[in-house]
Amino acid sequence: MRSPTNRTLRIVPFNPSDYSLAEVLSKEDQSLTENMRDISAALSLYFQWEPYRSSLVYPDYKSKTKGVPCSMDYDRDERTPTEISIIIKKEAFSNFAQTQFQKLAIRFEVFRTCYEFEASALSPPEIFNDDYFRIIITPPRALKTFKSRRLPRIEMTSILKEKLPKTTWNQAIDGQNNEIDVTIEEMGLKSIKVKCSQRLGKAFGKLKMGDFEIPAEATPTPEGDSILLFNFENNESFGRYFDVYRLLAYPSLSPRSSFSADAIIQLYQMSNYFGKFEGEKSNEQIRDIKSNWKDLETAQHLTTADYVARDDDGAPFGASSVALSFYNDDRPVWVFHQLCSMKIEKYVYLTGQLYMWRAEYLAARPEPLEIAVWFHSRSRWLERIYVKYSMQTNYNSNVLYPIIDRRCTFEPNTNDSSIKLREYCVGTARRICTTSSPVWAAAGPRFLNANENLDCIVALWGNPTSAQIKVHGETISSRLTGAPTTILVTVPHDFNINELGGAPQLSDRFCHFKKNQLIDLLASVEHSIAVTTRKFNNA
Amino acid sequence: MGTHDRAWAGLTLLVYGKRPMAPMQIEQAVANASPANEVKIESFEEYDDALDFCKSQRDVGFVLLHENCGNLPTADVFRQLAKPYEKKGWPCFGVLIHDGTESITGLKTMQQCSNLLKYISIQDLLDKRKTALILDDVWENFSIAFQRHVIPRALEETFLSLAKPELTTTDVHFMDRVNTLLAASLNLSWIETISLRWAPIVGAVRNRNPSALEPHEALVQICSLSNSSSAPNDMLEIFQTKTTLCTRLGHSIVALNRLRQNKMLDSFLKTLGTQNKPGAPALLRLIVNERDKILQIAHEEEAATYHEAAG
Repeated sequence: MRSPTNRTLRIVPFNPSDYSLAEVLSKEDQSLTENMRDISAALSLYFQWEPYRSSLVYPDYKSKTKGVPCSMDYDRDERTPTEISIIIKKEAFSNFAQTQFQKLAIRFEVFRTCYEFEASALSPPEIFNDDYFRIIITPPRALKTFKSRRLPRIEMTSILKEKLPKTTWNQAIDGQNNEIDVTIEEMGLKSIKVKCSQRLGKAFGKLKMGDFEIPAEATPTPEGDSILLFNFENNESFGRYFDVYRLLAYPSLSPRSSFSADAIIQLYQMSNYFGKFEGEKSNEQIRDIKSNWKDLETAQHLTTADYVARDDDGAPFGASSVALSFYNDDRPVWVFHQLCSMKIEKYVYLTGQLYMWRAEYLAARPEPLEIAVWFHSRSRWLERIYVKYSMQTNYNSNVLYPIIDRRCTFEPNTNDSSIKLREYCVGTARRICTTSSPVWAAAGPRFLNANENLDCIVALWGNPTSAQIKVHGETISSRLTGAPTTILVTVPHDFNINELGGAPQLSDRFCHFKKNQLIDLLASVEHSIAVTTRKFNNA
Repeated sequence: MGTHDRAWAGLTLLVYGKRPMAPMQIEQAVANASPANEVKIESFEEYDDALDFCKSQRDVGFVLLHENCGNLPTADVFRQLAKPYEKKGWPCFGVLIHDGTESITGLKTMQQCSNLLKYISIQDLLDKRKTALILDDVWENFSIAFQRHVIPRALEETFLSLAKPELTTTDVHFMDRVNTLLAASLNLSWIETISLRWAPIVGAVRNRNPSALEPHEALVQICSLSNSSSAPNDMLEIFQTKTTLCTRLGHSIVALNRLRQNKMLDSFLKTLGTQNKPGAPALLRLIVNERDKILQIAHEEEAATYHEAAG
């Protein structure tokens, strides 16, 4: 994630050739457009967002081997380009000027979507601004689009490499276990690119980082490196690796447990996280929150992940969490929740990181899962992220719902055995949730979310009635504590919730999506942050 | 025409409505159709937030208003959102958006607010195949409406009359048509298109009857953007100057007209053609590529004048 002031972290640009190297989460069909407006919009996106784009030119346009990094430009007096300049650093392609081009292939990426087109050369290469070559090409008449299906990879600088533990690759060769020193060149959550003293063949083995090991499959690259695709044995192993990865990708993040509970409580108070929901917490509630957090410490990476971002002085600046909250039939549903941040303009990028890490984290977890999140549309930043995301994935897909929320108290009057419940541990605490009902209901521990927002019922599908919602609430109360339980009820925005009573709550949107759609969410978060930052800077 | 980089320069577009998610969906539809203008558009579902935004920005000159404004009358909402911008002396325009069927209330609102230029369907606006076309149409209507506000038809005729004989009808029509031809491919803002159209006429009026311009400060200010009164004589010089596109185009059109008057247009454009190569300035390449149309316009306008004189 790029910050305005610290550009030592370099995200490896997407190279569409990469996607064949076993790292693809899912690949969309390549679509081809000859619609000039669509082509113009894609190019416009490229020209507008310099920090978020990359491009490669392929002199051999048929085979598209050996792409050369370049930039594209055009005469800004034009509404749409009638010719495009391809600008290449001299050192990137020293015999460029001597090469005769008739046709070229160009690939460019912006906000994790990749485009490809062919063009005719209108001019021979010429020297441009001393250190560059320029060649002028025709604009595209057709554009192939395919989405980046790869999680971000961090390019390892010498400074970053120093932060890593000693790393070796262990594989059996001719029946003998070999330990080979590797240098990590690029690092992602699902795979890494390494250089070794000897060329690795395609093989299974284990990556040893410090004192833990990760099973992986090695695949050699044409350039002589190897991609190691991880096969995490369990979530603890994934979590340990995540805590290495985040040192590089999200250096401002630390586990919540590395701060005192009082410091985090203070953060929630100062950022108005408590205030915007239920109002400030009583001493008793704060005591219970701290007690719950203690219970949750052993849940990290199993059923929760809670991180805090530090500012430049090391003080907590913001926090965000994910928690396994429901089961949709057998599929775990993790919830993005508990995000707060101080409203300090120079740290907009840190707020962005509090969103990004969660999407990357869940996208890389080994198990299939779904994701849900509530938010309030008055935060135009959040509304932008999720509406942009829902429109990019599929204009007609039901991923984003306008809702109303009420906090209702349910007596433990009913224990409906037809409602299938599942119980699991969240650290040393207990959580109960429905499994195969169109109504999602779950509760426990009370402060899994510091505002008690995860004792909840989500009744958005299957047209449930107030009576059915009530039965679910009462059954959860009965099974969890045997005492009246206050539960957040989420229903469609046009549902008549008055029969259930309860106190109105803030959130008015609910988003539910699948793991393989997280890549699109990452792109949407990145794009939305860029837009918001630019709007702020222009104001 | 409503999606290029500078189409909405100097303005912020605001989307408002109470239908859940509709304002942000409209914002994103516009952003997808026109990435260049993505940072110029803001959407709200809370009236107070929208109004506060208009008051703080004071450049919300175009409102996309969904007719579902909750309890507030739609016409009133539009007027209130437009007020901060209109305090600067410029009119605020907008479009009204319905949910697929025009309503009586919506049609009444259109009658009550003459600055609401179109009544459009949200489905069309959110249809990826149509958004850009709708934006183009809206922009075109906006430019015309703004121009009409700054220079009503009666005033237009007065100025044309005052500009003679420095500018003949042939001059005016030739320059106007060539401007329209060239501007359609160039990265000009809405206000620059108005400037280019009127700058030669206002310049001629200034020379002949400067007092006639005194009550029309806004128009004079707009026309100063293209500054066509001080055009260099050498057209090749124009392409190399480091002025705005609007100024260079304004000078180019005046220079082309001068060439036409001196019967040198054809030969000049032929010569200019030798300069047309990849990497040449976009304006030069455009004029060369439109050479035949420019000559046709010259021929038609001169023929029309001849027939008028003969008739």
